[in-house]
Amino acid sequence: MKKITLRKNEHQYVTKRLSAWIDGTLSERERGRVQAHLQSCEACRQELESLLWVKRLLRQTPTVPVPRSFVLRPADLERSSAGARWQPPVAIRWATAVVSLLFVIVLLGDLLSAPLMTGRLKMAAPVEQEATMRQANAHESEFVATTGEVTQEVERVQETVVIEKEVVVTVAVEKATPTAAQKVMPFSPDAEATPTVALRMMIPLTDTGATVEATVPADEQPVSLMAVEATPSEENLSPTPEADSQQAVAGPTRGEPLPEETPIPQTVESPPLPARLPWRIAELGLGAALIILIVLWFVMRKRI
Amino acid sequence: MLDETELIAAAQRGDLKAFNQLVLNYQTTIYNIAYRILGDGDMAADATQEAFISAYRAIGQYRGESFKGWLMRIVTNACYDQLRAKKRRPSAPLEAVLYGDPEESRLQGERIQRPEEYVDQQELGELIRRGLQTLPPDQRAVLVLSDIQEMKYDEIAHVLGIPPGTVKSRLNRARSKLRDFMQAHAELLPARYRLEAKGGGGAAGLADLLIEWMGVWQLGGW
Repeated sequence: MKKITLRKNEHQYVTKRLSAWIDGTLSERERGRVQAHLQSCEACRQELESLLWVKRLLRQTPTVPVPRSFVLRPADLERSSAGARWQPPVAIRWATAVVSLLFVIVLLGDLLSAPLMTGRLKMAAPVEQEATMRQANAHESEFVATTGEVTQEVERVQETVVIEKEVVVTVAVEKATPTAAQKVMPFSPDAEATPTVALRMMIPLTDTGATVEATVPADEQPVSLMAVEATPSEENLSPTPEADSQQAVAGPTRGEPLPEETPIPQTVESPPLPARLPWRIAELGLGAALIILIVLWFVMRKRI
Repeated sequence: MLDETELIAAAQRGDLKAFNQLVLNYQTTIYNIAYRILGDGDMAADATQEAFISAYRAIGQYRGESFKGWLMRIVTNACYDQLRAKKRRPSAPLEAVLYGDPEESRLQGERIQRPEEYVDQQELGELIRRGLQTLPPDQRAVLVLSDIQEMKYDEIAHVLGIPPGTVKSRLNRARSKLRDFMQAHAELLPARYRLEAKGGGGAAGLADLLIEWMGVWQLGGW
């Protein structure tokens, strides 16, 4: 136990405890310390005396007789008084109102700001391989045939992807009878040409859409475009649902085989969860706060 | 005559007569708490009425704790409601006409009061009433329950729904504030109530006070 204590602190220590000392609610240790200080401090003794005096006065406060009888008549009970119904403290009521409002705002904000990812890609018509052939179907695609090569263009019709600046376009090009010698050239010049029937390419997204080109070596075999799928570039980091059975793609320009039955993707998926995280956190937080407040209402009601 | 537990049980079954017997038993205490917190007879009457109506409506939720404490909680809430809702000027306190029996005056007990004593006491009461009004409501409530109703800290804590530590600090502040008020208006206080040094003052005077208060405390050798 400290023997030497600062006078000022001791003063404060004792002054705070004088009322409790009067009421006999101090611990043994506190009482000892207070009494020791009182022995030597006239100011605190006077303080104590005056507090004792006040308590004594209050004890003698006269009892006021009731001005009338307060027995209840049925009429009193019918008169519905707002004060009779228990209400939680004002702070709790306000807090509940504010939290509810914020919660609704966050929910609406989340719903309205979710981008609509309905980019639609058209299926290109099969390409006839001809040295000088020019276009078969103006709506869907344009075929430019140059000597020794068929270049096919697929144009994205509609795009509302706002988040990603690049998309991965998977182009499946099937040759009627692919052989090892027949390779599909990917768009990117430094990418490896593989004897696969599909390519995945990272295509930059412009205001008018994305254009992908696939160069298919000219030969006798007809080339048909099986499926086109455009997904935001982030998606490319993890396997798409259609590509589950395959190995993950290491780089965007490496081609990989598509499963035999590739569905025609019509829509582009919305951004993955990480982008929506702030909304989720806000909703969870406010929801939890609301639940806590409601629980508080019930608990406080019960305690009456 | 049914005892309190039976009256409460009957009231919980909807027996208004039984409840009214409880009202008669407690109305003076409840009214006085309201009066001391609100400082105004009319407001106190309203708060008391509201408190008993609330109590009757809520008696189904009463769970066997101290019934007096339970009523006190209801009336202090009713007082806070009054303070929030209305800002009336306090009426002249001595308008209250005496209806009740002298026996209802708990503090006087069986002693027959001399007229001067009675007048002195009324003056004290008025000064206390004014002094209490200078306190913030939460300090006032604690002081009334502690020093007028003589409740213990933990009872007060339960009635007001606050921690005992808060009771302690509010009480300390309330007493200091009222003490300052009383000392500032000492000339209005009847002589018998004034603070004067007992004996030689100092430690000896304090010892006398303590003996008077505590009775059993051992003071030797402190």
